[in-house]
Amino acid sequence: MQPLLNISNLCKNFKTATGLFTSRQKKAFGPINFTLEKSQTLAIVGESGSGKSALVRTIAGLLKASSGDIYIKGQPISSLSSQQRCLSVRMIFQDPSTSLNPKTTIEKILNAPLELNTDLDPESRQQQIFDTLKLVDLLPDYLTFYPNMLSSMQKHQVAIARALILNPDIIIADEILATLDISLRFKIVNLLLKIQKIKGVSYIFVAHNMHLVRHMSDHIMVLHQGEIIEQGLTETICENPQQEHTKYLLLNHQPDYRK
Amino acid sequence: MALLDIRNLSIDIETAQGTIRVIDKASLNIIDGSIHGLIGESGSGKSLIAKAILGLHNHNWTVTADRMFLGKTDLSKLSQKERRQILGKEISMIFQKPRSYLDPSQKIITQIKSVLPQKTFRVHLRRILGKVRRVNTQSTRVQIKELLHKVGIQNDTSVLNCYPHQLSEGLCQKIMIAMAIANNPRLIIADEPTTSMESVTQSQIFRLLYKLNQLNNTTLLILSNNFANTSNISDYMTLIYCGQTVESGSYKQIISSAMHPYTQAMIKTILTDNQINEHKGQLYTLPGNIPSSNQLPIGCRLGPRCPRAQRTCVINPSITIQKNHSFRCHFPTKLS
Repeated sequence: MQPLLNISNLCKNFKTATGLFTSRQKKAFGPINFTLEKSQTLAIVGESGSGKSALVRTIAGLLKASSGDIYIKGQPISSLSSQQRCLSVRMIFQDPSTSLNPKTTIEKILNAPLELNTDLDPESRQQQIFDTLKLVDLLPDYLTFYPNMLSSMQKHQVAIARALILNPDIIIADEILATLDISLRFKIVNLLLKIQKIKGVSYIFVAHNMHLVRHMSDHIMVLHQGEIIEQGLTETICENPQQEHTKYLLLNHQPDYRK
Repeated sequence: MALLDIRNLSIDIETAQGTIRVIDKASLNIIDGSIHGLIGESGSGKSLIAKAILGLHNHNWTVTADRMFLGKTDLSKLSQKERRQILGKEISMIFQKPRSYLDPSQKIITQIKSVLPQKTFRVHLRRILGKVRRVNTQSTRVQIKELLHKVGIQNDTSVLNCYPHQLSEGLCQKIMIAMAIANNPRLIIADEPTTSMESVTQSQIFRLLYKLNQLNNTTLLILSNNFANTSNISDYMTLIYCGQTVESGSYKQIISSAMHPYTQAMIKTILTDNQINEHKGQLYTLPGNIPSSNQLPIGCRLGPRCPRAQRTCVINPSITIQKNHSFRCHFPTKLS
């Protein structure tokens, strides 16, 4: 059985100019290997600057990898066209208020990926949009709205709908929960878990809150300075972490002020 | 003794759709030398209350209060100019997203200098005379250095010569705190000081605020949307929902005997390590969404989302006070 996503020896270096003709390579993340199965959730944790965002952006195709390969269902990503890639990996960006185009309606926002990546006729596109909206608990009335008319929760729902509309196998979420209020955060978590149950998508998500990571994920990957220092099942890592850095991250950083 | 005593503060904002009562009879009683947490979700009007305390409101706001005292001064009777003088000396504010509040075109040193107490002619003269007599007087540079050391910035010279965009969010927040404590205010209002920061930086900022309170006896009002973080640090808490203060009391009263359903829902948002929830199960939330400010329900604004709501909830419940523990609910029950 082939894994859904297989990453082997993926590396990314950033080139920075140091002089007129000289440049320096800066490593964003080192050789990284992991696999992801269907309906599983992988959480990537680490301090800031540990290369989490660069890694997920490379998997989503926003950055070009320096070396290494990404295989989706056994096929190397270089053999796939960008349309096929979009159909299997989608990304939810951090802040929906900036990632949704303020000048287009929700309908156009959701229609664009279908128009560009599939050859559906307008009726079936419309049907797909309605189905996806139903899945994320939004009413079809919102289709004519512009993003600034929605609340932050609804914007998040639209962003999730945009990621879901092509029925992808993997959804990448880069710190989408960090800027939300606590109760809205729980709502989004519930929504994401519900969608996983119905659709069987896999998630790769970057998060800070270890409690939520523990609640949502099946596997955890700990990054430190661009390298995987620990990787495994959520239960094992949370119960007995091996590395100092993991222990440090797992301390929930809430010192007890009460005497 | 109460440092800040606000009774029945209401704020009406005139909009194109008519006047909206965004803050409805909020009461706040902050005891001198304590840490007070004002907790509510975004859009609940926490920042509006802070702005009303500072007097930073726009022309289309109508602020009314039965009582608004800072120590012994009546804030509502002061003129705009006198209010401005209080700002920074008696009350100072730490804003959320520090990078957007620091001037991007000026170096940190210029910005800190501008908040330091203005030097009068006499101070300058004394300094010059001190140089002649070889008595050491404190120069501005030393003063700034001490301030930065107080908030835990060690490499002060390199930080001072930076622009805000060169520094991390946590460092910018520390500089904002340094600027807030420059004049030794009695009350510091921290408006969501740790939103969108990482947990390590968050705990640093909270520890710093806690230290300020313990060492200088500065009173703190922390506005936050995260019940779990803020309840840990605060001595007293007030919860606010859609502009109505729902419950207020000491930490122990709120945690052990919460009366209002909203408070009880907030307490359930604290996730602990010993897992009560099943893995990947649904987390507890109140049904429905926060209403937008032009569609607020009448009476108790939690009404449509409240698990205990009944017909009488369309009338705004009056305040019940039991041993400084106050709440507004028709059907208060203790959670078993």
